Amino acid sequence: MTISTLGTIALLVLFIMTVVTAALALLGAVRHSERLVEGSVQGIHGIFAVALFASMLLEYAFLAGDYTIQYVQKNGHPEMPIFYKITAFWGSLDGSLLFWVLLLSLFASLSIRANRQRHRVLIPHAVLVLALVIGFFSALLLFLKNPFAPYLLTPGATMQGKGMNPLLQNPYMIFHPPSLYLGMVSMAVPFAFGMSALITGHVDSAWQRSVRRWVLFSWLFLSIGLVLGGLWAYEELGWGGYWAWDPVENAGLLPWLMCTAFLHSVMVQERRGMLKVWNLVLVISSFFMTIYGTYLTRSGVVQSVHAFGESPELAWSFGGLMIAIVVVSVALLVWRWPLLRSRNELESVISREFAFLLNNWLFFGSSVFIALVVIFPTLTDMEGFRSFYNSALLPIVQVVSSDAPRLTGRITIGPSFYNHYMSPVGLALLFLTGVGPLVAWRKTTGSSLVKQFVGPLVAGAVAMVLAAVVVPLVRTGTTGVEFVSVMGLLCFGLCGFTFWTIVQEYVRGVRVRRGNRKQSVIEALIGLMMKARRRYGGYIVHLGVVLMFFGFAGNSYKIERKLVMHPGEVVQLDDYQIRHDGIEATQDWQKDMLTVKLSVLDEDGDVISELRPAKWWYYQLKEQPTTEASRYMGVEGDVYASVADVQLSTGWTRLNLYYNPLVNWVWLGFSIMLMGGIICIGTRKGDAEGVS
Amino acid sequence: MSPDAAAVQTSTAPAAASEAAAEARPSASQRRELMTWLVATAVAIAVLLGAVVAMGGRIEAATWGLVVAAAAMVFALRSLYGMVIALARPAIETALEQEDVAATAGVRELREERRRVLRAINELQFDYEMGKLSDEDYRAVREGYELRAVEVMRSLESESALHPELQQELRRRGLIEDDSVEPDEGQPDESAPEAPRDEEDDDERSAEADPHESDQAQAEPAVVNACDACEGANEPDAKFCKHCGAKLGASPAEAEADEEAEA
Repeated sequence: MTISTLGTIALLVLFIMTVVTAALALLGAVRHSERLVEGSVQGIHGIFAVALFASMLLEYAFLAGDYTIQYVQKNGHPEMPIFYKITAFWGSLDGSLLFWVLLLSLFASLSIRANRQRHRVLIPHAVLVLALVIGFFSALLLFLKNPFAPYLLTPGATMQGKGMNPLLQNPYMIFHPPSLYLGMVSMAVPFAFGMSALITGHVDSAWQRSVRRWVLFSWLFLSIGLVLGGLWAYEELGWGGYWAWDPVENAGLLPWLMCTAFLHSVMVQERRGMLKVWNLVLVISSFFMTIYGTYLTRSGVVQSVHAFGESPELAWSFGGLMIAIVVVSVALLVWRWPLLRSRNELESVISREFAFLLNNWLFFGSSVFIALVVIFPTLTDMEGFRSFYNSALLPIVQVVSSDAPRLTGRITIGPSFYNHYMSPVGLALLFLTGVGPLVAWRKTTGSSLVKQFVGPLVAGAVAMVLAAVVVPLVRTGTTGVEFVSVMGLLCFGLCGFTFWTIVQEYVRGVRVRRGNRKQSVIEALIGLMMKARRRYGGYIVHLGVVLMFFGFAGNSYKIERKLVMHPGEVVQLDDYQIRHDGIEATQDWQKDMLTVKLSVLDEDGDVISELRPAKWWYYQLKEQPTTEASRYMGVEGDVYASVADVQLSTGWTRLNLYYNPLVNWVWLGFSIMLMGGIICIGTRKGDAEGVS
Repeated sequence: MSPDAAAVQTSTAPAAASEAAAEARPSASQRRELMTWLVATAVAIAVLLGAVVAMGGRIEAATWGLVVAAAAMVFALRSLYGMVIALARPAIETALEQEDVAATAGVRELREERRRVLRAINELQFDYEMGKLSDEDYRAVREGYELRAVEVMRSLESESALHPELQQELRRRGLIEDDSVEPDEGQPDESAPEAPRDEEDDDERSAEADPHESDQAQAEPAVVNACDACEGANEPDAKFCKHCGAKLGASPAEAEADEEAEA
């Protein structure tokens, strides 16, 4: 029996098991049969085991070089390093779907095991939902995109593997896809328990307790995946930026936004019994956005360098799943509406509840906005939609924007459109990050308001004034760039405001703790962190966000120069000089390389660093040379260079030179955010909050 | 920190820790299964290492891949077998096992609920001390949490198992009866519900109590395993006080004998 046949049989067994498990769970729930429910629970564990076997079989096929399997032949190569042979498993569409099934079944098995006794009433329906979702993806593998599909030609026609796309043979690309998968796939668990809560009517906080850590896990890995993707784009693509609002980038951002809203919104239900509908809507929307993101990347409906390719069958399949999610979820919400009434009312707009409500609206609204804008260009390609838009929607749009044009063909939407609308939203969220901890539950009294806000407001004003004064001083303006950026100044001010809020919370918390026991400041600080991890871990996450926004603010003062240079020439880039020192030609087993040697000089003409931007021509992708950027990193910013075009014979080089102020604060901020997330996820059951 | 919260927290923190420890210990069957897997894994690793040594360390990546795939197949077959076994068991056997587990899980959930409510009280107090709550709001919200905590504790165990200080506070608020017996435990409620009584009445009652009365929990920890440190009542076979965590000195028989001698 060949690996191809054995693997296909494994997929068939997998699909049958999902159907049987779903049936057992449904029957067990309807008949209240513990035996059938236990059977379905064992079924979920069995599904993971079979998915693991199928995955390991595919890995073996890559390691053994079984090129009779199409997927292995297209993505494997005998001379590929073993590490890349292993990661080739998820390197393309078919294998990535199997990887999805593996992770989903693993998370399903773990979550059911963890909650089997703690939330017994939710288990049957959670198993049902998880089995159905896994069944959907298994069906895709079995009927549409089988990674074990063999070549039907004679063995002589099967040549050796083509190898993985060279762009993916990069350390960032090893971790970026799995991180995103971990984040997106794990959202199915909270969704399953949320649906189970609706079906059973147990819509109190119990179902959230079973999934809070899963949502945090999902959020953490989505964050890692998004930032790694940005770092890869910054270092490898050579356009000097890290986020371009590409549709596939947005696919990862959409569930992240919903997830972040949910993590905050649950606190309101736990404390005040409010926002029950919101929490369910957010968890359903988070999962929906993961499917929507998968639809975008795998169906071919959007044009992106990141997309897996075109597949109309997948487009219809995912479209059907999304419709089913929306229809079933809305029906359940309507059915259970009476149970979802809040225990309390919103008593004041100056309250933490209102701040969280605004937070929900901003995150939810942003996610929906981005989701619609991403798909809009594809819709404008359709004659029917253009007619509908011009006749019915355009009058409404022109109320907001009087110069909105008629649609005459496909349009493209670039980063400037997204930045125009998302920048104010981002600043509003940063503001709420600072305000949230300052306002009280239920309502904030006047005296408390003054006491809490005066410090952060002063800090914010000082930060804004400092930025307004300092930025023009440190920038010589030789390139004629405007140094007054209103958004940039506002961002600096809000960074100062929010930063002071965090410091204030720590200072007051240490003071309160020391008031109740004899402790040094360090001991009190450590005690605070250990005993109130969720709260103070969250503040560390917020600190990371502040630093990231500090880095974003620097983007407003970016300098860009696209020019032609020859060896020996020197050009000015802000306070630095860039000297062209020649071109070097080299090669290795998979590519030819042309490397441009540049020196970075300070104002005195001393060499402070060397840059080596390059162009690579992979033998298997000669028509698509890759750009290798090079940068000189500093606390205040990066000097960044990439090669647009180069001629070895004449030394003619077209270069893209950038000065990116404060960009490294984005990566630093992310590291701190990650640390805070890990602290939060480590909250133990017995931890008390605050002072005890 | 108010006396009742202090009492509630003091009585619960060590108990919570011991409960958590008890919950963390696996059952005998789980330990057996774990041992089986560990032994099997150790044997498999030993065989693999032996093969590596025998072949001079020249095992290819593909061979390792094959080994892992084979192990995954064994795991898959074992899981499928587990599913068949679960379905083949008599329904009554599964139902009995799950009911037994459910009973434990129910108690565990109540304990977890108690921990959550106490955590919420702590967090509320912290917010109050940070200046984020007015006095009125603090009192109102805290009272709600405390009532919930009492409700959970009453569901979890009988009143006589409560910390003595907490019992007094609950009686003062009129939240529990003077009589220690729960009406819903099927015992006749001999004393009519009255306003909270003072300590003098409690002392009289404890003096009159017959330590040889039935094995239902008593209001005063006179018969069952009383703690020397806090006088809280504990189960006869308890080794540590569930209210304050102190080690219990005398055995119940000795405590009974001592109390008989005192009476």
